[in-house]
Amino acid sequence: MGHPVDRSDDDLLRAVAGGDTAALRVLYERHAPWMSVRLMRRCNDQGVIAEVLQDTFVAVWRGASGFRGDGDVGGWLWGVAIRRLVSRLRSAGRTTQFVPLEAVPERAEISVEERVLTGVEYGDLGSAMGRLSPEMRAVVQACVLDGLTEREAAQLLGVQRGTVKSRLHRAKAQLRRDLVEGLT
Amino acid sequence: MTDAASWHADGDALRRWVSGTAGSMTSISVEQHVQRCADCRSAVATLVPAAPLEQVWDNVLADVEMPRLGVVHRLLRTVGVGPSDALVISSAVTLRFAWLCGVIGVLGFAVVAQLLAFDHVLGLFLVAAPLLPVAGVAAAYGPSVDPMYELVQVTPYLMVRLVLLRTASILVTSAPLTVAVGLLMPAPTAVAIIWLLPAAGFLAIVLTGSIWYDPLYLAGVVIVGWITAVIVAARFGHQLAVLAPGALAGYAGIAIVAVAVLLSRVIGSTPSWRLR
Repeated sequence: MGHPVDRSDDDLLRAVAGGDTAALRVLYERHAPWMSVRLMRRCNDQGVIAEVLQDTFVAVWRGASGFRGDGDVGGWLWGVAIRRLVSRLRSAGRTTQFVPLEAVPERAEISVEERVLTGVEYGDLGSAMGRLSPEMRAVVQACVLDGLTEREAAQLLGVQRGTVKSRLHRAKAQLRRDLVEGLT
Repeated sequence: MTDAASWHADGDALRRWVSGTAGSMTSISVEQHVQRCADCRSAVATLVPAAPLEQVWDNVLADVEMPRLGVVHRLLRTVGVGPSDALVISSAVTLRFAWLCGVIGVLGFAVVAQLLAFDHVLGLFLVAAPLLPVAGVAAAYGPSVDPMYELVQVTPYLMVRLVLLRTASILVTSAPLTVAVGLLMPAPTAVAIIWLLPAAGFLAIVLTGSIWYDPLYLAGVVIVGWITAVIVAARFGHQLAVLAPGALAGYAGIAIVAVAVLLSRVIGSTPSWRLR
């Protein structure tokens, strides 16, 4: 087994399923920091974020055996956390608002790394995303990047499910058009 | 094309993401990458203040190490009972497990006696039925028996609510059983139901009396009194005389007076109330 610090996330999760709090601690040290930052980029209430993070790891403790074991522990954890955030924001009566990734304008020049990272080989996905309205970008972020269903995204954003559907549809159409224009 | 496995987000991008000054595209890029990259995750960890995360961890650990709540508690939660109510009810039910076994034992004995055509079986039922809820309620309160007594004392919980919840939980567990056994008795069907009236009177006496006395002591008085009454009635007439119309009116009267006293006492609640 080895020292918990040297073990893989999958391994740790299996140990957590067996009731090992030391393994949970190591998972927490590895994942809580980035998860807290990512939650902070979506919610402006520190108290809510602390609760969501706590709920998430308690849920992990109780449901660790439900992990499919495909290696993407980070993705699985984030899936739990973002859904906890959805239900927290809903039960908070929407006094705490979901904050889309749009508060700060992008720097004019985009570094090479960022281009590669966003998978931009032709056209310019970055600037195409930037031209989407904030509402449409929020829908793309929730459905595509956070992997929420349309229903969950609707709860998170406080709009009707049909609205999410149509905004996502229009956003994809606009992105496609922009990227094709970028080619010519 | 850069290899996805060897590429890492640059420190500047991570710092701007953590501080919230990165633009949307940088944020999206970093988030998608960090989710899968252990190296960049540790880099983020060094940029995030540790104290708030430690506090959250303490809460996680407290939740995780808390013993799992019992079946009764979870059942009550799933049917929509609030967490504190569920805890109160389930502690009344589960901690009274021995009492419930006693109820089942007494009633089971009555059934066996009935099947063996044992004499005085009706008397046995008459003695036991109205006393079971009293014994259960008495066993659920007071410093002498309640494992939650100290907890309850320091809990800002409406006392009337606690009393009623626990009493209800005890009635729910014992009354249907007793009625079912009563229907097996060689007596008018009404007897199977009518015992609820003296039971209500006794319960009201114990609950109201606990303002001044230990409920266990009160229950003892009630139990001895009732048994005496049944024996006397059996000796000088018929045992069912304890359930005669006049006696029933008496039980109802006792229950009404006791509940009235209890309510007036609760409305003008004084610190000397023992149930507090």
